[in-house]
Amino acid sequence: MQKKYSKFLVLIIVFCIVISLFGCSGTTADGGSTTTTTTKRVSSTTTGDVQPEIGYSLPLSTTGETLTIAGNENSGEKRYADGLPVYQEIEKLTGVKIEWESVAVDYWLVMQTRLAAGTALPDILSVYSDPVKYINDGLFIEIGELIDNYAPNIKYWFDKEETVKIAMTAPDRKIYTIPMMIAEDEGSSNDLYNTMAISIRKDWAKKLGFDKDPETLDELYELLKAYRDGDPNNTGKDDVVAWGGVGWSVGNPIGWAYGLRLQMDGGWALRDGKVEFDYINPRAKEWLQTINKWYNEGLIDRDFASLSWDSFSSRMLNSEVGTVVATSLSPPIAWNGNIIELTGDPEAGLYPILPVRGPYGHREAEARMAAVSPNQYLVFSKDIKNPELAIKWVDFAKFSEEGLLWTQFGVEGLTYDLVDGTPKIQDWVFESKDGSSLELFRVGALSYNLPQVLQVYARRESFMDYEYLFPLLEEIYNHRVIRFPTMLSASAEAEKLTSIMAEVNTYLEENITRFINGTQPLDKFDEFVNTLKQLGIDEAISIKQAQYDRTQ
Amino acid sequence: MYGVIIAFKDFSPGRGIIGSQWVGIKWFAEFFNSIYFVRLLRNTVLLSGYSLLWGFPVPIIFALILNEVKADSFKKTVQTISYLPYFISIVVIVGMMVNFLSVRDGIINLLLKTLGMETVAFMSDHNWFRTLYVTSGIWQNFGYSSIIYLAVITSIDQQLYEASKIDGANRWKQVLNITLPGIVPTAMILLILSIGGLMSVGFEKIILMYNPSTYETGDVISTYVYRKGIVGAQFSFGAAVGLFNSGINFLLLIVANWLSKRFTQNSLW
Repeated sequence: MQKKYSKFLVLIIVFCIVISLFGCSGTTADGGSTTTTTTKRVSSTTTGDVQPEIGYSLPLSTTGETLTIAGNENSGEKRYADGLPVYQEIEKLTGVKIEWESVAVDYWLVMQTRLAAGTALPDILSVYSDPVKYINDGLFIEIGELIDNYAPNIKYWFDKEETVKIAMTAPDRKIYTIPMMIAEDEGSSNDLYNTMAISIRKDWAKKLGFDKDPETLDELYELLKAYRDGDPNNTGKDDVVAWGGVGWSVGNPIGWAYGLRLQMDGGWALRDGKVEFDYINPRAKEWLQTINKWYNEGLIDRDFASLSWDSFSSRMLNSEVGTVVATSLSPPIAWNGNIIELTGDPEAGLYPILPVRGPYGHREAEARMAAVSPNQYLVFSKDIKNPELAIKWVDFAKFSEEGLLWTQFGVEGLTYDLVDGTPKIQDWVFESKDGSSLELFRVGALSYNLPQVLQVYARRESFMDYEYLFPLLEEIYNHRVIRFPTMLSASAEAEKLTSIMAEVNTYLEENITRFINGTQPLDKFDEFVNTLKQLGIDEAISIKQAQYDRTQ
Repeated sequence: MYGVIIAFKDFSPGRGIIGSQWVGIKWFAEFFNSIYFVRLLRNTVLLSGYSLLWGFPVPIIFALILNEVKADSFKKTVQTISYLPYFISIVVIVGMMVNFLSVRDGIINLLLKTLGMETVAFMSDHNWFRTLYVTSGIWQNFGYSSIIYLAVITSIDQQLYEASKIDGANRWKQVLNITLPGIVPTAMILLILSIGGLMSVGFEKIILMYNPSTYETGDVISTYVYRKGIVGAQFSFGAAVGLFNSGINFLLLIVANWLSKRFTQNSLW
């Protein structure tokens, strides 16, 4: 009896294992068939003999159709799925119901997993890395024709800014993606915050006897030493971090004074049509020497490599940090309120300065955004059922004047008023103690969960508190160097580039950190450059050069 | 499980497992040819090896010592306190470590300063990484691991002890000749199982603890693949390295089992 039972049990277990092995095969079949269907549909729209209608009229749908959208969750307290005023209005106007598949934290990590599974994808989604791999896998559909036929506003922006169309054209010359675009309009406030700048505690500088902002790298160095020694925060303790920042890239902004573009584009620079990698530039050695000196003299936090952003910002808020690098207007907005409250001094806080001039005369700062924001795309997945409807919705909500009034400014009469046709945000929004941004998030405006055209004149309104800084910020803006252009790589290129850069980045992170904290002496710099060449950096440079040349 | 085949293919989600292109050992070759391969292998083996070397005897010794304690309530209290750290999340443990070892305001460096010594940037010094990793691991796990040994000890026949007392053995001789041999079978099995997991060194803990300045000793196979995988969503590469890891583990398991069978007559199979 016992023997029979145990044999039976074994059979059941084996049966279960076999079933589970074959349970996985369903994915393959689905993946294959869905792709074919979608491709057929797109081509049928464009091969018809009837002239397709250009544009659209509201409402977009009278049958209450649904679109699923995946992107970052709203930054306010309420989620998109809870029904925010802005999107409820848009739903009424367009007649299209939106099913939100938003993720609050690590959206892209979650989305990558979903893309790997390849099924049940949302209609519209944001992509935060190079999309070519997914395009080649057939996960996204071509939208070039859709834009030409149904999206007059998107088409307008595509045609207006040449870099946009270049950046969006995939290696097979088709268009699959819509980018986040920065529209530089008249009265735009791009100049206020689109440049990265060094911000310093000007109140401390004054207290320590510096009557003007540092203009050169050497003057900045003197100021940092004074921060370190002069106990400017009156605590009697040696607790001031003169040069603030975290991670191996802590010294990258000082590269600006050497004409090196290390902060925003990972070292990639385009000069006179030539692609360069600034970490192998000979001036990089001098830059490292400076940073190493600063580290040895205690101007940089000794824990910089293991510090987290949270502990760093708490030190900033505790009035213990002398300098920080961020977009030119962020420190006053993000941190000064707390610093003023803590110290009781209305003059206290971090304020931007012009880029400092380096030993070769460079006086640069990197722009934060390009006309096309790299690595942020809107795509339609292969599972989409009504792409024409989707493109019309996106065109209306995120690119048309009317739609942008909703998604950027909120509800008319509640958060903004139209004054001579120009939207003006109401005073109560600025006076709110939660901050103007949060008030706008609450109604569903201002969240960039999907790429759109960033009509920047809106933002100037929100910054009127800092009007007195505008001239300085505009001057900082004039020193900006534009970002390395976004280009989509062909898949073979992309694969080579990824595998080279993965090794290069590990090598960079490790060695820059060791050069800074002195565990590796700087006479090893030439060896460092040679190893980078061995890892294939020259090949990576020529790949990027070829990509750029293709767009010209 | 048949999905492991993507290690030999250029997997793309759109084409599925069957439809993806076959590339043979391309990913393995890429991994072995990486300039970091030797370092990664070395770090993985050393971190696991040291954890095993130092971490294996501690629960045994602790169990033996605790067994000698007569006062029951004291014994129970010590036992409970010893395995509390096991239940603390690894994130909290590493958070505490970073806090205590901070150069600026960490308690250890404060102590060093008052004793007139130089402060040490523990978390940024690759020479300290292994020590910190192994020590914190031992502290967290020894109590919980000792439970099984204590259980085994209590199951040893009391008559053996009585017989040995008659033969004139003192406590130390009793431990050496009765208790220890009683634990050996269990210890051997546990050792074999631990060796089988040698290559899968604690990924989460290392990710939390390491930073670029400690890559030299802290970067292991799994963390490198994590960085490379996130950069390019290289599923096939990850699968290939995982397969490599499992293969090595399996080999080690077989060797350890054979050695154990040969020298102590205890084995898993």
